[in-house]
Amino acid sequence: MLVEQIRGNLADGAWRPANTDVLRLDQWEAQKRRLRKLTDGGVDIALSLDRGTRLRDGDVLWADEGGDSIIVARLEFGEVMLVDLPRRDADGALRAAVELGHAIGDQHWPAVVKGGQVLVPVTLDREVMDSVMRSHAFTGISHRFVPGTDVIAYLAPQDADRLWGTR
Amino acid sequence: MKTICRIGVGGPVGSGKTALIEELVPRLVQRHLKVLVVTGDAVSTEDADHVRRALKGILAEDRIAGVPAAVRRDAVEDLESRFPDTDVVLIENGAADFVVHVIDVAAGDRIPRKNGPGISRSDILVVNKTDLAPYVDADLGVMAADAAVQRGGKPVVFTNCRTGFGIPELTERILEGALFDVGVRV
Repeated sequence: MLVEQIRGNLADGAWRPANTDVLRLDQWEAQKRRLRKLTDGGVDIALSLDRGTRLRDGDVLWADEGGDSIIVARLEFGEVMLVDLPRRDADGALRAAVELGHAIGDQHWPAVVKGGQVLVPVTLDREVMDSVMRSHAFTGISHRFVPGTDVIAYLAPQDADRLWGTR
Repeated sequence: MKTICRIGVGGPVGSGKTALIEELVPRLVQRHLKVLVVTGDAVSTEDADHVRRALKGILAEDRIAGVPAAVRRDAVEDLESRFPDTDVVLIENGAADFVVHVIDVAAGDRIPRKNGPGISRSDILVVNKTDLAPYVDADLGVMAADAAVQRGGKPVVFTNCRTGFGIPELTERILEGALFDVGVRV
């Protein structure tokens, strides 16, 4: 089934479907405009959206005439690493930012600065990321892991694209 | 306005991304698709020049651009706006809707097991240079099995750009996975 337009979102409150089939997309797939994947019910969805369109959790991809049967996109986000930098003095802050940037770039990890913190998506394995961060033994830099759903609401579309888009 | 499908061809230096693009373009053109190419030269125009020579008579020179990574997205948009009736743009190491990740047998048969975003998340994993397997003691069966574990059933295609082995299968996988709404033209 070719889907070229989003029909609405479950949060609109306008939908009272009797049957809901779900297309599950992870954080990487959710950034794509073009994608082919099976729904839970086995429907082959070929997504071809305009470049400006961004999928949101609960987007209705297909609905029958009365809206009784619908196919909904469910976005599933993994963890994000939040990094705090020291800010006591300008030199220390600059050194920490450069050292962290160098380490992150060395790993080819994408990153976004938001609300005074650096956000890095957990690409493969949290333990590996944690170990990389600890092995650098940064001074004054701390990190923790939070669910992606905790930060997605605060992210601008270009931030989400930078974190999870195909670059 | 129609959205042009962007297909990224990524992978380590020397894995055969440019060679793969040179093999893919004639087959896409054969399917009546209108194609653009953006190569991933870091500091030279070597790749773009090579692609232009290899595709002479198949793809017009001005449909091929070679740019450093930092300005690649601009180059893609520029090329797309100059050729708006394009169906697909192949982008070496660039942001895309659909990603083909290329590794080569000679880098060692443990590469899929070692994993990485390109191995696990790409839409198609290409294991290139299969002809070199006997010379580097690489077990293609092991590579296939490890890749299957990391990729949860997403396609893995073995290719040899010198003989064209695997290229028809790769073309079909791209058509069904990414060009599903434009690949039907005859």
